[in-house]
Amino acid sequence: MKKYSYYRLTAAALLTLVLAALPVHAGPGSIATPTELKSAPEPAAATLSQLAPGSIVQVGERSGGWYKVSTPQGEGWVRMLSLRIGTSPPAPGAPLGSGLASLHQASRSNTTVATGVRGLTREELKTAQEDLVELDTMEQFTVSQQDAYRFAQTAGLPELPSQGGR
Amino acid sequence: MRPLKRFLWNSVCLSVLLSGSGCEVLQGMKFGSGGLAPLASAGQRMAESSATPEPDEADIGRHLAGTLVGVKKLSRNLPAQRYVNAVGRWLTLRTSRSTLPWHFGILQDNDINAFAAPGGYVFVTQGLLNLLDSEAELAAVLSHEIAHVTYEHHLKAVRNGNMLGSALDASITVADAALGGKPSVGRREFVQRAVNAARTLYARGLDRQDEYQADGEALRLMTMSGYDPYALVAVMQKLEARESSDGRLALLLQTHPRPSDRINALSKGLSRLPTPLPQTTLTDRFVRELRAPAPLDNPG
Repeated sequence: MKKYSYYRLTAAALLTLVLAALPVHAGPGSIATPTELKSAPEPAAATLSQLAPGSIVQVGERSGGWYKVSTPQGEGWVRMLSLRIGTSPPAPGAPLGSGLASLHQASRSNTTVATGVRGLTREELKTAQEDLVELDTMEQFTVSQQDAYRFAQTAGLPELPSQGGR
Repeated sequence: MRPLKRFLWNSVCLSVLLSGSGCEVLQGMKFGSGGLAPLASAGQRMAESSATPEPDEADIGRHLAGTLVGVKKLSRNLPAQRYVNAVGRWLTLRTSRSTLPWHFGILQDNDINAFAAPGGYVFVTQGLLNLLDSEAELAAVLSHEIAHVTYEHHLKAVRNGNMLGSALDASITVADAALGGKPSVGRREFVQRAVNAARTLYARGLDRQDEYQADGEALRLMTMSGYDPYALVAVMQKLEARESSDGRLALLLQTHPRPSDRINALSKGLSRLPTPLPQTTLTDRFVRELRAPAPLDNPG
């Protein structure tokens, strides 16, 4: 058991090192439910302060269910489920895909005809024709079970529970 | 073969970066021991309720998927396609349908969406791929779509909507080959009905409960496969942040429950997963495989 947690810690430390070497995307976020600012990404870590709903924070890296945030009270970690990415509150009760999104879609459709970059829409789907020749080009992308297994192993992903059982 | 060699080689490079012992340490994390047994048995219990035999499923799926790529072409970035297939195929090894001929494809579409079709087809748009930051997030998206296939959600919708009607029997019993390659009348009707089913299904979306079920199964698959399951929440939060301002989400939002509702359901699902949860995100490999300039990028 001891050995296991040592491995976990070491692995976590290694991952942190790898992640720290990468540019961390930071952006604004807002606190959705009352939560604690913690000194580390774990429930048992020291509580630095209380964050009220609506507080705006800068969101950094993620570690499991925690985001690193920068707040007026200092830096720390908050549970990702008490955070909302971005600053705009969602439109409550708005029917799906209606409102802004559809308006945006409509205006975008008009403006992007020239570039030919247009998303897959319901209208397009209504008149869709199948293209089996295009579909068959997927054969060249496929990866065998064995190659997928090796691919996972090189990144240290866990063994299959019962090898050869499938 | 070459692209696979490339990412295998890249992975070796990552191992070197992590310094020899690094990989051993990571491999020392035995997720298969004890803690994940409930997840494995949940997978075993996932009964196949379907009355659709596998060859028929493959036939239906081929025409559904064929209709989708009839609207949006596949990306010509072969290394990226192979990478997505490797991640996806790894995830499928933890399903009850690991022997299906799984096909994963990136669609040349800047919109943010992902699709599945019976028989093992999974598609992710270039727009959604651009939004992701790690292999775990890619695994989250693919796991959700894989779950639609393993639970046969599309087949169920086709059956419940009687979308193939009597054409199903006619078509499948009379194979093209038996008629010297000339499709029978029944066959032609089957294909036309399957194309119509695709038009309806992808525009209307699946049963919303099926979407929640796919999210729940995605958590299980990710955890079993060694990926940080919170990556699915991270993807949902990205969708939520763009919900009211990004027109590229229009179809996805029209066909799925709201991201905030999905996050609420995920938080319950996460609390039921056995701890410790895997924390692997493989951000580095994801960036290297997908953000590198591609020699064969989209010609059109």
